[in-house]
Amino acid sequence: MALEQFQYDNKIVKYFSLATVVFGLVGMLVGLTAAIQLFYPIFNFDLPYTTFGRIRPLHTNAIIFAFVGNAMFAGIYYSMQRLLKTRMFSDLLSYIHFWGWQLIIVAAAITLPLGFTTSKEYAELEWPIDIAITLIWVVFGINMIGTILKRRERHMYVAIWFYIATFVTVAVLHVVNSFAIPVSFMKSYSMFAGVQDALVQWWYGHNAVAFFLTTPFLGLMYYYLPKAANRPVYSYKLSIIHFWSLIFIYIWAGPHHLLYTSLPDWAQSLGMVFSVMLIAPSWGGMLNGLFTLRGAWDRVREDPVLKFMVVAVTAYGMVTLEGPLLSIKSINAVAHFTDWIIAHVHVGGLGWNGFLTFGMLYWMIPRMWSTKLYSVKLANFHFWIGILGIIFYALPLYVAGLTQSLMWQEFNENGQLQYANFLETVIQIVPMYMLRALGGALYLTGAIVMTYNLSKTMKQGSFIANEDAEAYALEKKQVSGKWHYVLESKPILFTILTTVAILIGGVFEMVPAFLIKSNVPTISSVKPYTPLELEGRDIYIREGCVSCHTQMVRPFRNETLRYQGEYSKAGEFVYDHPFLWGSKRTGPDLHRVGSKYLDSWHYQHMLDPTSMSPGSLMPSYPWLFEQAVDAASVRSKIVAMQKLGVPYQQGYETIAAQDLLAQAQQISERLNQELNIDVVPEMEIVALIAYLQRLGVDIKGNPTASLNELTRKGE
Amino acid sequence: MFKHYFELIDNVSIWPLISLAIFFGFFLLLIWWLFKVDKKYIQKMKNLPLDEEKSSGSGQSAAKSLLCFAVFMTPLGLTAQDLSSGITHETLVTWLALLVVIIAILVLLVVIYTLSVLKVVLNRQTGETQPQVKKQWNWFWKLNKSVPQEKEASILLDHDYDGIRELDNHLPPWWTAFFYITIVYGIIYMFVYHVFEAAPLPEELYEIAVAEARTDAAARLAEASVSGGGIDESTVTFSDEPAVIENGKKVYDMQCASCHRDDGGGNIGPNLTDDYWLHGGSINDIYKTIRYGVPQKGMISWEPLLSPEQMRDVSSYIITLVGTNPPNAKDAQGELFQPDAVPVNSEEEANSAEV
Repeated sequence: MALEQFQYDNKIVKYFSLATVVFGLVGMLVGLTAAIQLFYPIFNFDLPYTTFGRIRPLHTNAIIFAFVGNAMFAGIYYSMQRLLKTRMFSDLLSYIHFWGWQLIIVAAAITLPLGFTTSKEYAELEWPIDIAITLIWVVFGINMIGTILKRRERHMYVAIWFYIATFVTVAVLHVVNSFAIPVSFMKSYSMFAGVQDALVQWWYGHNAVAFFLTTPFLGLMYYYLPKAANRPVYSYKLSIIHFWSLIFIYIWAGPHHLLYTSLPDWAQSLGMVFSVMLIAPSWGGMLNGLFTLRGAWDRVREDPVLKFMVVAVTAYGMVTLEGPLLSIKSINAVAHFTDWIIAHVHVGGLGWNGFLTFGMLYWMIPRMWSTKLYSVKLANFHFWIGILGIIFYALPLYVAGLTQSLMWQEFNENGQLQYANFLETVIQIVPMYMLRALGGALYLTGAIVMTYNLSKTMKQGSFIANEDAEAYALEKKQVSGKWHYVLESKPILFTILTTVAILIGGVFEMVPAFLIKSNVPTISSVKPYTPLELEGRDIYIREGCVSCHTQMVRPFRNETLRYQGEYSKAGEFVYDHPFLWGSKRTGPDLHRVGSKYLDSWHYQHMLDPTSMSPGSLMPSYPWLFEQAVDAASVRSKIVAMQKLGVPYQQGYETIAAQDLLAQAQQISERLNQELNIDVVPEMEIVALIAYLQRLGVDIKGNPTASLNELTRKGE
Repeated sequence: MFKHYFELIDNVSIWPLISLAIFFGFFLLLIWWLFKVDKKYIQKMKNLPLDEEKSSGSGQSAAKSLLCFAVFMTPLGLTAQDLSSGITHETLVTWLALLVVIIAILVLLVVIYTLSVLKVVLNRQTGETQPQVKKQWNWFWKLNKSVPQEKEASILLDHDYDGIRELDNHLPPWWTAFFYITIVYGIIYMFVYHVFEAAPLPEELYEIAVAEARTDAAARLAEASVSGGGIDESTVTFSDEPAVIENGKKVYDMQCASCHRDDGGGNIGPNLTDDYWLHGGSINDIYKTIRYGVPQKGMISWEPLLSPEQMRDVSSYIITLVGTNPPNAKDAQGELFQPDAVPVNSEEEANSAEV
């Protein structure tokens, strides 16, 4: 055995760490802005680029992919080299990965405010950026697998297992969910429609949480927590069991985002029971983390790094208990579409991802700059203000979510809705929105303090770009022992088994949903959108209306009564590329809004929502009244839809523009009659009105339950 | 501003009782501990310098952080109790009860944990030795089937990763059991709902709720006819009682003003202050228009949203608006209506308008 000298690449870790801090601050600031917009609509600034519908995806993308993503990479590049006793496979790939990822972030920061979005949550970026993400992710994968292959440590430590699962699963999720037909340079339609699109999207969305926010961070926890505590990991057995059960079960749980929707019942139930089964595997990670601190709790008192990590791991445990409970159908009936869910994800985001990142940075940066943390006091301050921020964020939203949901469901003694006006239920919770913004501001303050503290630390130390290390070369040797112990020395086999484990759940749920026709019963009266409605739908997507408005009336009596129509049926969405069911009701559901109001109502409402709904928190959309629809572009959209199987007649694309203008002319004339104003038919507002008036009307006329019957009295 | 949801819950009193029992039990334990504990120890605690500067500052931070967790989790339990109002499904109540109990237990665990950590801290500062503390935690580690710390070497695996060693403790038995229980639960659930189809799925539950609502509506109808009849478009009469008009104005401002303007001058909807009416200007006609709506013209049916009393009140209020002549009112539409004239064909007009 030869002792080999080599160097760890700290510079790449430094780059990713700096990007983490910068994008963390940006992402939180954008989030704070969005939080303020919810109670002071004036902060939408009446500009297309700054309205809530475009700011919200900017916030989620910045936090998930820029802040947490960069933190993950920083942590992985630091720990992987050391756990495998080697430099990264290729410096070139490391830096392509870094710069490529930052470019993707910048592209997202530019395109999302411009309204280029697919509307699929956490997958909003349009197809050219999706391709770039795929390429960069492959670069990361090659670099990682390459590093594993040239390791000087025979066995892969548990952290590496989680990194492998992260790479494999995110790749699969991203590629499948991004299947889309490009219409133009920055516009595409999802290959899937309606129920199927929803299933794929939430298989992705849920597992983005699992494999972008959870597994990599569990890997980081397994490195940084024992390092910082200087204690052995509590249980190797537990690591094995909870790793495999976690990645296998997580994949199945996606449909819990779609309970009580038009998704087939069997898929809903699978989503629910697998979520419940997920509690123990998730808690395995928390237990292994917390129990590792056995005998080191005295140091938790002294070391801000450990403090951050303890809170992070505990928050992880709380969130992974709450999540499965929220997946239980009857609890979901109360919590879904409300702010409860927002509180839930933020306990995870602020507590688990945020605090673990902070702990990691406080530990790693002084080491790479070979110095001590500039100020432990400031780090403690950051810790406490961060805790306070989480509390002020989460608690008001728990109250808000419950209050609003209960108001939605309340009937009076006449069998009518006690709060028939949706707006009443919104105004009730505005004070909670204010408190939430305060919580966010506190948390951001902490992050700013950290930035100062870390930059001072960097200044006082001297950076070691290449850290010397030595290890014995790996000799060829037959490994024997228990099967898993052997498996840990075979990275390729390990990766293949991981892939199999994460594929089973997805295949089991998606293949039947795509192939068995009875899962989406067709409704003959449901027809494709007219060209003008299609344009309107694209405006709806561009403005991010789906951030606040659902299009999914659930089978609850309070909803069919409130939205005055049947609950939504799977067959109604067969031409919806992409689906627009939404996940949060800041405003009312819109699936049955078609022909409920006059065109002029929508016209005035979009120009100034408070004119039609006094006290409304919705922003105004004045630019829709100034920008014209490009009638010629509808041709390529119709062609794309035809390719996706939407039954427009052959050759229809050539006359689509004509149809579009004719329908716009009609609406313009109606507006003229109703309001005595001249509206240019090509204006975007006309297309949007056409779309809104079409929503949910196709199955009207053969209602299965007459609503008026239920409340009618004495006739 | 805040609604008193608690009062709406059936058997609301059981919840505080359960909470009380749990916390009472906790305090009993605490008192028992107080008697059991060495008096010298309490004396020491009394004399402790609780000054951050002098005592290395760290101990209290940990205690604070744990206390903070107790605070952080307690409201989860509180809000969970809010849940049950307005929800009739028994299943939900059962689940919530379970949730409340679980959360209460968690909160307790954290509080106990906090106290014991506090104790460790205090022991530290008073120079007491570690072993005594360890004893306190024995039950916990036994519960987890954990190898005692002093025997750790026996389960320490023989390699290290960048200095990280691994122990090979048993899986916590309660954790394993819980995992099995959830799996069994999942299998039973799938069998009950999707193999035996023994319990109702969402659509079926909806049908049940609709059927119940129908029964309730019929009961209300019967009750109304016994008590002398409810209000409808044939029996409604104008009333200028202040309470009626005030309530009518409230409904009007909330629901009608956005289309008919807050002074009734008309906007998207027609002017309600002149003598011309599209669907009749008598109280009966107005009531009817509100009740059934004129869907083709954008007037929705308010029956699902307003009670008969509310519709009567707002009809009466609208009649008080007639002749108020607000500025910039919308032009007159429809037929001239004179209050004293008998509304001959109003019925047919309304019908023809609806075609």
